[in-house]
Amino acid sequence: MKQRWISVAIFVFAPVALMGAARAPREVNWTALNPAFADAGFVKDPSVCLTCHEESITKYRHTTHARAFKASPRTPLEALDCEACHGPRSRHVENPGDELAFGRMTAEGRSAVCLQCHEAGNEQKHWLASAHRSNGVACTDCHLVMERRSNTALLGARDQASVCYACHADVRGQMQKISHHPVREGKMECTSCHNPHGSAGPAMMRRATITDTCYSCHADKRGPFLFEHPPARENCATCHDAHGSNNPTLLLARGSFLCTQCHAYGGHINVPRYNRTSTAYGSGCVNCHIAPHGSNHPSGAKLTR
Amino acid sequence: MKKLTVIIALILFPSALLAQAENMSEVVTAVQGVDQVDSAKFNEYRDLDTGFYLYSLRYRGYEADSARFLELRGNQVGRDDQHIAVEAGKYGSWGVTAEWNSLVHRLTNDAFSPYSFSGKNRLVVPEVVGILTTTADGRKYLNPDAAVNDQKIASFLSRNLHELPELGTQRQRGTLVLQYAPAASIEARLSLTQETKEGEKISYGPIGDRPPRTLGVEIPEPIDTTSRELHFEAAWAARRVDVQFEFSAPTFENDIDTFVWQNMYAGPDSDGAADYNNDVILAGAVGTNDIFRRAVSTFGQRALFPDNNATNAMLTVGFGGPMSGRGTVTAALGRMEQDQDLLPYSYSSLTKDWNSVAKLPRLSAGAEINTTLVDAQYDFKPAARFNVRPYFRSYKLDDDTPEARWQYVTQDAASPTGGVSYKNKRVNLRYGFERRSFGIETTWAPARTANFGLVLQRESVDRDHREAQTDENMLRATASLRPLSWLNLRARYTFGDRNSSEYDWRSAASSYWYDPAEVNDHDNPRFTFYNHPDLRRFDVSDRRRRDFDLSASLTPAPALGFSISWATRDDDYDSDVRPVRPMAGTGFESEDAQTLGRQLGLLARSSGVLSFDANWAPGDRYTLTAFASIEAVDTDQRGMGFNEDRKMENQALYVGQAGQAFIDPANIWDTKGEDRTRTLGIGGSFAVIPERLDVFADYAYSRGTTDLHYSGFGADAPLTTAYYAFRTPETAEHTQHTANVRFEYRVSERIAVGLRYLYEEFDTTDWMQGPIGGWAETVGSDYFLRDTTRDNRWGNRFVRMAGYLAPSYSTNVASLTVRYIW
Repeated sequence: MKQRWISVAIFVFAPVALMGAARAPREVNWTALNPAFADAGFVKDPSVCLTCHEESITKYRHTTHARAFKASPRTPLEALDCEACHGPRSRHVENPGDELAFGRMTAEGRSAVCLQCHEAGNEQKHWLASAHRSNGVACTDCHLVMERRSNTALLGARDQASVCYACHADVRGQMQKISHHPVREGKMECTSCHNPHGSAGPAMMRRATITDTCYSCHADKRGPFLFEHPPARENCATCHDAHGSNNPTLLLARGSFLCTQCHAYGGHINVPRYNRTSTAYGSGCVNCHIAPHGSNHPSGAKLTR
Repeated sequence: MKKLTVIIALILFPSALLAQAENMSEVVTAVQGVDQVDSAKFNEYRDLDTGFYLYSLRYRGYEADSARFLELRGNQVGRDDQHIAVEAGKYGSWGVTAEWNSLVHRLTNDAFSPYSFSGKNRLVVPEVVGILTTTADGRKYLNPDAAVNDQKIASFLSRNLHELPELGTQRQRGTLVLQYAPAASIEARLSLTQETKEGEKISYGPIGDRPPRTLGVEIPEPIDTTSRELHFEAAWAARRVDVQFEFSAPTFENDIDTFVWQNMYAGPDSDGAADYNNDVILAGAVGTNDIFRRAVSTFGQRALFPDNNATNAMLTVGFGGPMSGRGTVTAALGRMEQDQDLLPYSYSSLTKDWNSVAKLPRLSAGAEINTTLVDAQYDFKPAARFNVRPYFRSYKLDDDTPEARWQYVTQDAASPTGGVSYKNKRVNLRYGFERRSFGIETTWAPARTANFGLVLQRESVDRDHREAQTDENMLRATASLRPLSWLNLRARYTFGDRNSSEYDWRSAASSYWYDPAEVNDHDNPRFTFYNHPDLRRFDVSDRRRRDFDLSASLTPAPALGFSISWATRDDDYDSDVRPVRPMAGTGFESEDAQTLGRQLGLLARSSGVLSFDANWAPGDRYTLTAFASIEAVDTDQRGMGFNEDRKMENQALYVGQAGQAFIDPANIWDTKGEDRTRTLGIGGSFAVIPERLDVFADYAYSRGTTDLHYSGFGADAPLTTAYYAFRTPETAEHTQHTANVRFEYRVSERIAVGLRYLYEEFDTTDWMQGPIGGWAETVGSDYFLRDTTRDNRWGNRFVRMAGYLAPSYSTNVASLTVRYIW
């Protein structure tokens, strides 16, 4: 087993180590993004920008980009500082106006500017297939590069939920339900489960599957178990709504009414019954079938132990 | 003392570093008062109490010349919900982050139980109830006699019921992250995480044959676990090619493998021994239907979540190609393993050595799952502003756990001879699956103000040992328009048509290993059927999905923005179910019986959400935000009451007898679920005296209601004695109001004082969680819910320990804060 992973590591890292030469960032074709850039050249002097944009640059100085670009630029592009992201500005200097403004580009174009440096990073590697990209969301819709408003990731608002809820207001409502993950309490963030830049998993999940993402906090449910409950193994969302529920434990339906959506064996299983331990009160069927995620007991075929 | 040391260290630590740097430190302390709150819900995920608080702690240090930085962030320092992070490094080069996150999850502070822990994993009662099973004249107890046992339990509880400490869990998660980017072309990130979780959760201890003959209790289940994860990521990029590698190795350790609880109902020893072991506590008259002779263990035993580990490696290669294209190919291998030693079938011998592991086919779980993921796509521009992205994805999960033949010794109960039912001979099936999808996405941006997309996809899922394989064709169309500089419109429509292969309602047969000759009653799931043949499990059934999203974002002025959105999700699981003769060819009396062909299970689920979000900042002195949402979720499900013990009998004889024949339309029940949620919030800030006095205020309201409208079988049956009786329950509802007001007055450049006030109100009514109406028959105690079986044969009772969340509350929290900046 160990040898298997060592082989994988060697296979991957040997070529990387050999080819670790400095890369030139994938500079965009500015004219393709906005024809008004035609004939513009790089000024290569951030102090020129300061002449008119002192207020915004003062705020910008506190950002990661400003500090990294100024103190230790790793590439010629980073050394351009303002023009690394805003493109060649000679024409703008000659004739200030907004024809070269960021907002003049398409969402794809705006993102392309950021992807000059970020496309190949760990976090953004699946941007190509992300639902955000597909729906015309640009990096600058969530990130504010010119000002540090958040503790991390240069978000457009102080906290992550505010950024996400600006478009996903329905999720904000769901998070207000009685059963919810502690997002509104600030103990989790949307990115605890989702990678907004895309992923190899569904729904931009952090891991390859919904279940793998859930296991990162609920490792006890990973198993594998001697007796599996197949819908739980395939997808936690078969029974749970991670964004919130009016039912206990984020369940999609109340107690036994959830189980009877798939079970009709006979007798106690297929009928919600009044005044029976087998049914509605407490946790419903789970009063006895206490291991709905799988059982590791030799008498666990019915998930009762 | 420990907490105080941590706090002092956090305050002093940063100032010792980066002495020549640009430094900013901030600390916010508070004296806080909280009204007495008798509800765990108030502090469900937080820790608000009366006392001294260190609300927040900030330090930012930065050396411009070297680009080195050091940051410290702390919230609720020293509390159960504290979060502390220290970050250091050099911008654009390397970084180290150490993070400590405490997460509390309180479940209830209203738990009562006759049980006490004896050791870490063993619950005992000081005495047993001693349920009587026969009357003085030797008759079997029937319902009219139940009062005798009711009184025994009531008396038992009055002597032994005691309040438990608050139930809930506390997680402590520590994370260390190292990041290194020696060049723009290379970055690597290593994270190590360890999380401990301790506490107790609400659980259940069923002992007995099977419901309704289960001697159930609600009990606290101990939790003491540790999770660890090593995660490594590396990326390398050249101009046209990039490679990313990801490796993770999580482990889970449970310090409590086994959980044992005493059978509080167990009667006096019939064998005269003091261990209450293997007593036959019930006996009926021979020759009647009400004979249930069982040896029942005096302790129940469960295997808690087993230790496990996993490894996952993922490699992604990105590359540039023709037509301004970029492609990525991802491959991942994963493995999950678990090899916990197995418990014996039963805690007690039950007269036939069921408590010996020698009877098991193997001694440890040997469970293993292997996964394979392949994901590939290529995005290119065949024309200006036009993108095409074909893609393919495959995820395969192989369950490689060896299958074996097991006995299911039903809930620590067996016949007096130690025998167990033939139909409890079970196989652990290997439920693997493979999900493959491929499709093409096109996007067209004719102008910078317009973006249109179209996706066509086909997905197929092959599953082992499930009822059906599914194929789904999906279409998704999107549009994003900006017709005016201040108006952004987005729309999305998704249509999915999922078809299942022929639904194999016999699929569960492979989970049994008994022979036909062993069948000695009429419940025979291997050679007849397990679930009703008209049932369609919604995760593998046909499905027609229609999703629609529409949103508008408006920014009519730079200081004013609002958005409104409407989203619907409709899933129709109609699977064209036809009548079948499930017993045809079996030779049983019921072989001509034909099902009704009316689909059972979840039939449809639909939801709609209308949401609104606004923010307004008319000047430097004012901000205003608001949100609101209305969500409606409707479900439609159908079930059928029938007697599994009659499956092989002539069904026609039982038509008209409630809950007997699987062909009887009178046994059908329907439930329509209505789930509604309304939320509203408003917040704002006002600089009363600019640079001097600020006021912040916000209010949030949420109300959730759940209704179930039950009709059909059992809706008219008497509630007290019938096996199958149900009514539309009361609405379950939860309402919460939260109002915050905060004043902050800046005394000087360095000092600001503040006053905060929080009002919170929570009202809840939930028939599942509280003794509401006829659900709960209280006998001597609010915490005793009596189960009125027809004949009281098992003294079947359920002691309710506590609701899932403790009760309604309203409370006030006030604090005086001092913010000091240096």
